[in-house]
Amino acid sequence: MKDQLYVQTQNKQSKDKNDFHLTAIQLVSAINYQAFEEKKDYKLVQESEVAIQSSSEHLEGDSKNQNLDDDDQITETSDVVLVRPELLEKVTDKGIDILNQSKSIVTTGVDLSDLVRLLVEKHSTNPEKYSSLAQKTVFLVDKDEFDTMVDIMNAKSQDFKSPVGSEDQSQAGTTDCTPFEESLIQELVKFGGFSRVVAEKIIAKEGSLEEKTLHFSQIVKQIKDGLIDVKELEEQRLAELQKQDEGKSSASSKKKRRNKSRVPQKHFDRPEEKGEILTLMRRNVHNYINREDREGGIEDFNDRYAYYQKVNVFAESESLPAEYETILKRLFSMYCRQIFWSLIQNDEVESIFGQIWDRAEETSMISSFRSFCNFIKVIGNECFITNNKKYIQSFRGFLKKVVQTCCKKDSKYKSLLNVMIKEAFIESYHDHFAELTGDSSEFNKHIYEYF
Amino acid sequence: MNPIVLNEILTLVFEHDVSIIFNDLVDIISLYTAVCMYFSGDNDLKSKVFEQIIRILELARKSASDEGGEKLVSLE
Repeated sequence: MKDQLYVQTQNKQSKDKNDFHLTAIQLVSAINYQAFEEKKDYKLVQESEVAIQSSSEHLEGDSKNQNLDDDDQITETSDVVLVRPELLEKVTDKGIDILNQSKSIVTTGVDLSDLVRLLVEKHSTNPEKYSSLAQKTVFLVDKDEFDTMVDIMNAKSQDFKSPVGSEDQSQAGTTDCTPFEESLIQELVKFGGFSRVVAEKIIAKEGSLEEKTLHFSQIVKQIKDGLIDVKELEEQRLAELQKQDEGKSSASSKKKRRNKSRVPQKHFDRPEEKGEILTLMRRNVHNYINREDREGGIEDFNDRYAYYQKVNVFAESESLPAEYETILKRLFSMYCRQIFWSLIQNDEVESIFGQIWDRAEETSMISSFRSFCNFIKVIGNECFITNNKKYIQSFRGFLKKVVQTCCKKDSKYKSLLNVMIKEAFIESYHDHFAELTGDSSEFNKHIYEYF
Repeated sequence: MNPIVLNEILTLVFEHDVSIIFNDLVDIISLYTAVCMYFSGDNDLKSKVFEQIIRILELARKSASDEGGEKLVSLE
């Protein structure tokens, strides 16, 4: 997603709907995966929530202090915007302006080559203002999926916009949270059995998703230990809501949140340095867009027609959608694994084991042990390959707790280590070395036979 | 399993309950040696693995001699 152009079309060849369609969650996970690494989150918003920055008002009052060169610059937000295809039909449509100022857009049923043509036309109308348009990402999803996403966002927005002091809001105790936060709160209440106040406290943590997850487990632990009194929190929230009824509306706080997501601008040592860079960039972009077509240049990559053709061929190749889908699914499972890992490493291993295996039958227990060994293997690989010291340290700590729990006197989980040693170590390495030698039948003989 | 993870887990097992590995003693030594040879470029891992091999052999020798040498004979 960074500094590269990705092109993706819908897989129209697939017969089985469930076989291919990306779910909204997978998509948002994929978008946020890089953000997860960079310790920041992108937000999914609706087109109606986006205020188009005009050339003069983009600096929100600070424009007086800027020189004229900056007037056509647009500040990119870290929003991913849901845009209806109707808004991407003409050069003058709002959708293209939204794409220009947001991180990326999610839409449906748009013809890729038409969209590329529109983007090029739009760029030529104001090369300065739309200089980064070609670098933006457009996600094309299935119509059903798009509608589902819009429905979810609409439902949350309505909850959010309901008048202060109304019956519904006072029952729910809604605060100034974004639609996604509101959705997460409801999920925590519905599936996690949390009180709404506790769910809000969990969500309120600022920071990356990893920090939020850590915060989540800390709060759960504090509630278990009696450090947090849920009733007291509920009373406090009620008092706060009453104050809010009397005071200001939540509109100003929402505006602050929106401003917070803006990408910080680079600072320049010399004031004229910024102007020089902008002039250079403009000249390059201008030269690139207005370059002359060479004679008979249909085969030339620089020729626009040939370029469209190449993009179309690339996007329509059979393997691309499947490959893209596999990668997204892999990212999604990696993301889930990280969340699961953040949760369990702060908990008691024995209680986790108890929850997973105490009610299991012996046969399913063995298969579950194998899955756990697999989990350890993947987490271990990830943490040593990334060479993240904090990750490695927490992995070592977790392993120690697991082995200690399994090695306790009369431990029910001792067979986990037996399975791990027999299958995950000895057998898997036998197979691995057999593959290396290229003669598995030779290697399958018992180890004693070699001596 | 990653050899580094393998080494981490086996080292912990030796520290907490070495009896778990006795049934697969020969396999584990063989595996350890093979891993050590295969990843011979990593000197740190190699030295850690050799340390564990010596540890296992010493534990096996002790355990075998404690029970009148019967186990030592079976290992031979």
